[in-house]
Amino acid sequence: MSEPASPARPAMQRRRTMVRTDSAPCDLSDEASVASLSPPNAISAGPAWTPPQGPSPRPSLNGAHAARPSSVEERKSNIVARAGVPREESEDALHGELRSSDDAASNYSTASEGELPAASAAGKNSTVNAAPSTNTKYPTPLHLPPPLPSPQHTLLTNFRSPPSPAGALVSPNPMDHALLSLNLRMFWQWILCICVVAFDLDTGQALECVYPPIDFSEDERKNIAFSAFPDSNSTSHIGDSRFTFRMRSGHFTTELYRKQQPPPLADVNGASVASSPARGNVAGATGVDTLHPGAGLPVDTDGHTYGYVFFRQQRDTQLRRGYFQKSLVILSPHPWPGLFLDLIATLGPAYMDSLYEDRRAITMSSDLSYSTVSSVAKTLLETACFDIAAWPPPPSTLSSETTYIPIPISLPFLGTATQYSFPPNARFAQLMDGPPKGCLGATDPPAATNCTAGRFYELFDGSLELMWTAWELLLVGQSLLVVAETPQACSDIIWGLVELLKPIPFGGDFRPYFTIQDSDFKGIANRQRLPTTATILGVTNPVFTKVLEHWPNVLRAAKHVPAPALSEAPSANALGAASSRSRLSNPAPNINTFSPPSKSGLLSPFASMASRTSPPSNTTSNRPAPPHQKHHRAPAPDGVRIETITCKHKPFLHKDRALIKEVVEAAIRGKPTHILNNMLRRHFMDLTERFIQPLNKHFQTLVVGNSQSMTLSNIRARPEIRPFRQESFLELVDGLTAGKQSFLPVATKRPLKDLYRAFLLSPNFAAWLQHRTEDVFRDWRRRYIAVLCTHDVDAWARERLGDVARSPSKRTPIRRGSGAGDIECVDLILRVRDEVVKYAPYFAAAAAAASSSATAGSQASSSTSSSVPTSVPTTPAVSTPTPRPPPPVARPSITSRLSTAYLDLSTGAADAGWASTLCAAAPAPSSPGPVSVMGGVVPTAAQYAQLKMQLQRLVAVLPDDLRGSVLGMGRGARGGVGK
Amino acid sequence: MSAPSQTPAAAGAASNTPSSTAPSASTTNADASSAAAALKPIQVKLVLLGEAAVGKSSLVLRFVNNEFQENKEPTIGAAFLTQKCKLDDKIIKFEIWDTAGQERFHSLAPMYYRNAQAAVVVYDITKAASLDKAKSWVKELQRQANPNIVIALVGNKLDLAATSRAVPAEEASAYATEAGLLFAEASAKTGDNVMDVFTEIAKKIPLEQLLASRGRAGASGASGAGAAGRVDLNAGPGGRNAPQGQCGC
Repeated sequence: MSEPASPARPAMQRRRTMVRTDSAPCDLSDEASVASLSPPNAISAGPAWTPPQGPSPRPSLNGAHAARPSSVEERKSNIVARAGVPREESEDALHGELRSSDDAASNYSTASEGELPAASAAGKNSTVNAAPSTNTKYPTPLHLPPPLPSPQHTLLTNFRSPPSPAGALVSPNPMDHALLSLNLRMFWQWILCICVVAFDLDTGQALECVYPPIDFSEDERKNIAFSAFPDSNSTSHIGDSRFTFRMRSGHFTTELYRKQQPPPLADVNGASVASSPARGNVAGATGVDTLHPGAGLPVDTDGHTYGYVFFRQQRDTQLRRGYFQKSLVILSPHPWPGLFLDLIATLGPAYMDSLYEDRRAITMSSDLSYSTVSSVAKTLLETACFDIAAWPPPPSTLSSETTYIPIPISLPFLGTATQYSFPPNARFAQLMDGPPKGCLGATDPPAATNCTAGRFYELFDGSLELMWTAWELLLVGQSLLVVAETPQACSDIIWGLVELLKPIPFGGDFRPYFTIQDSDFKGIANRQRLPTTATILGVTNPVFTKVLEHWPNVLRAAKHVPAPALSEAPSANALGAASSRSRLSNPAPNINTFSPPSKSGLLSPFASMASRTSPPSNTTSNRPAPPHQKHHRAPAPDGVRIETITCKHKPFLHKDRALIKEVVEAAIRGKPTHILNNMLRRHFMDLTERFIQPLNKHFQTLVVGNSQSMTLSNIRARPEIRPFRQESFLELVDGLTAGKQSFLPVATKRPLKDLYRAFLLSPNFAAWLQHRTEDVFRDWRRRYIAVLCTHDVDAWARERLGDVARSPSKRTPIRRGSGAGDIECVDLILRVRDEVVKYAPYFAAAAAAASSSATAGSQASSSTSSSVPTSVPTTPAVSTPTPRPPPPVARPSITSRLSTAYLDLSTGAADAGWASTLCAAAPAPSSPGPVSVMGGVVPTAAQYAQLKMQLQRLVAVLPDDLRGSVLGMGRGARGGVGK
Repeated sequence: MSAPSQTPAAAGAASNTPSSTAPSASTTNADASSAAAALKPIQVKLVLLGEAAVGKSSLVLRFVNNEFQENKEPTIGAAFLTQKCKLDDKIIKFEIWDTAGQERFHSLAPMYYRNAQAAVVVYDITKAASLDKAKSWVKELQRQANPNIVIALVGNKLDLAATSRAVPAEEASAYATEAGLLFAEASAKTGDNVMDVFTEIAKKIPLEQLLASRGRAGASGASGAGAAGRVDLNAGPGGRNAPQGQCGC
């Protein structure tokens, strides 16, 4: 039974009936399973201070699911409502929570429209065939799967593109049924979505599919569509190619990654929802507070989205113009070409092949119902996404554990588990451990694939001396136009250039492949002024050399000696996909080499590439390739080679002739490419490292204080860093250069001070300074959180309060006398509270469990709430807690029972009540913060639990009236006490 | 083991000690001397195939985590798990691809069985049709997969044998013999025979050959996983051999 998949638009009518008929049995099963979870919480989860809807993908006993049962009935009626019957119950929702679950349910019903294909399949099954297994296998993913908390439903449906003409380009997603069980939170940590871009003969490039659906702006859509296709002479792109583009993140992506939350749902709702009037409001009201599908684990972002493209163009007589042209794009916030180009090399060919398979199936069935077959390609995408969602979280500098060495992670993807090596931060220069997989002489298991590899030898082979020029240009932030023939060539070169500068982070803008259609084109190109600083553009369109005539620096690529397809096959992944991947090897090789460019005539390279499609000849390469090349051809650059750099820059440094000689000799001796790459990389790492050493030294003198000496009494949330003063730094350089000729590994031609001066003006310096500052901030924050977590707040607070708690009668007078201690205590409480509130979205699942149990405890006052103690690991600082049946916890009662209060602390219930009261009073952070705040760190779950524990402990120590005022005070008091 | 044995569950109960005596794999030796080779885990790619809802994921979960979950949600795409095992003096790292059974995922199967050294084709002994599907998987594997692939046919849900068996063990066993497959009936729910299936597979895989082909390229990155998370396949056929802890997966 191949499952009919809806082509989306035409299938409207069929859908509704299907959904309804099929939903009945599923509802039953859901009701049964959900009801067993925890019915009473449905209401009680409402007023909790934490987002009640945890983004946890699996069924867990938290409040999110508790909201579900009530919605089952509503959902049914919502489905009906969407079919035209007015819904009755929308008004009598008791609580915001209830309403939002209702909302989720109604959203869900939209989703179920999209999921029709599977539904109909299931329907067919149950009628045609009474086998028990068919029943068990469909319902769960299809219909309100218990594992999935409602926020995701809401999201999915809301972010589906509006039915505007533009939105129609993106097919209303027929894969939604599977999406519903996709763990988007984990998925988005790695990639944003997968897009398919097709070339429509009438309208040009257009986004054909976005999976999972993302609400892209019109500009973004255009950028993706155009950047995913070659924009120059199309005959030179026959075959497959892989390349990268980079674009500024749009609204959605920014919200998701920078603020770690989706944009307010109301926006999207307004555009996309016509049918359910009640929904927009509710979602708008609750959405921002409760939904943090992107939160939970931190993601680094540089404000740009990277597109990793697999493009295929081949003759196809069945199509109108005789060519098949399509691109598959992985969009991600991560600059890891080594990983993503590898993924796309697996997924791309398989996807394109499956499209053909689908077509064959259509023609064979001679059935016009496109829907029955297109499932192969879709299933593939879906599978890929599920693979990715099952990966461990990507390394991030925001997590509280940071390393300074490469991080190996094994990632299973479409039948192959590959070991990748991740840079611990964006400026880390990775060395190659061994030959890339698939190469001759590769070990088994092959060395881990570097996510940011520096394939310098391959790129600069034959023009090694240009490396120093390129390095200087990059260092001082000169803009650079990279002209190559294919997107693949220019993006490979640009990745290489960015690597060249590390461990200085490249602070400018780089576009591995840039087209004239790009929405930033006007800004970058159309000005009658000098080029913006530190912009690197990779272009293939000859127009650029005209438009950007005023750019002083142009780097041109030569075509490598095109190897026979066979020897290049290793560029594909070693394991698996052999047949499909080998196609990758015949992409660009068909392209001819550039004719040697004359340095004056900017247009010359293009003149020669007009219409050649003949098999490449080796005539124009500058130097004969060293003999070893044939054996150790390395994969990524696919034969791309840098040929010339035209620039007006006067070099500061000499080239390291000895190194060039050494490398060339090593090459002739047949050393493997990765060794040659590493030789060059080490040199430039060393060069860069030594270059920034004076800066590092100077920076260290600017940091005031030492985080290691922090205690509760001299606590400080962030370090003080004095401003960086150019003059004093340049004096330092003077001192350094005075004695010796140079402290760099190469000789200098001009005063280094000028080089530093130029560097200080470049965005690279700003980026470097930011990285350094963030490092210091992070170290500081880590220490700060650690102090808050582990120090004995109990003892500390008692000391501050002068032991007033022990003698309640004298309390008031003494306290008045020693107000400073009070203030310090309250200040500490607020500090801890701020952290608890701030990071709440990252631990929403645990928090939801805690809060629901807390509220449950306050409802049924005598019942023991068990989940709080379990969620709080015992902290080393405190003596062993004595669990007791928690006392009645209504807030007013707190003041009446001082003495028992802190004995009961560790049982959780009472204090969870305080903590949540306190936290509820805190201003809700507009965003989780740590990501957008420079140098933020997200604590571990254990640390977070400790923080909450500490908060409870602190509140318990307070004397009655002080506690009352602390609990009572909200935002205003906070300002008063002074943070 | 060609007969559907109601394995005495108690037999293996005591034998589930982790092979803690195995030296750590961190002593990397570039040359493939047999001593070093034995310590380095041999990666074995294993794929599970079979009709939907026959219990593929459950078998794997039993093997890897020694858990069982009623009404497990259907797998989408495929799940990936690993388990390290010890057989004689070798350490085997199973890289298990647990595929989705639904028909729509069929077209992706070649990605999973490509380069696999072992396949477990699962059917449901309470459902006759599932054996037919299993047979078609076997056929496909024999036609398209790695020619040396070790295939095991496993009839799952042995715990239901008394009440609702639909496939006689003899029938399946005869087919397996004829097709040259390992055969067992097992229950992911009770754990009966699950370990044995993987043990038999491990024994049948030409490990020496794998080692030899791997050894020649210098052993650079032996994953130095500790010996803790391993299953001792030498423990003998014990239905409920409990794997201790999980290995990195």
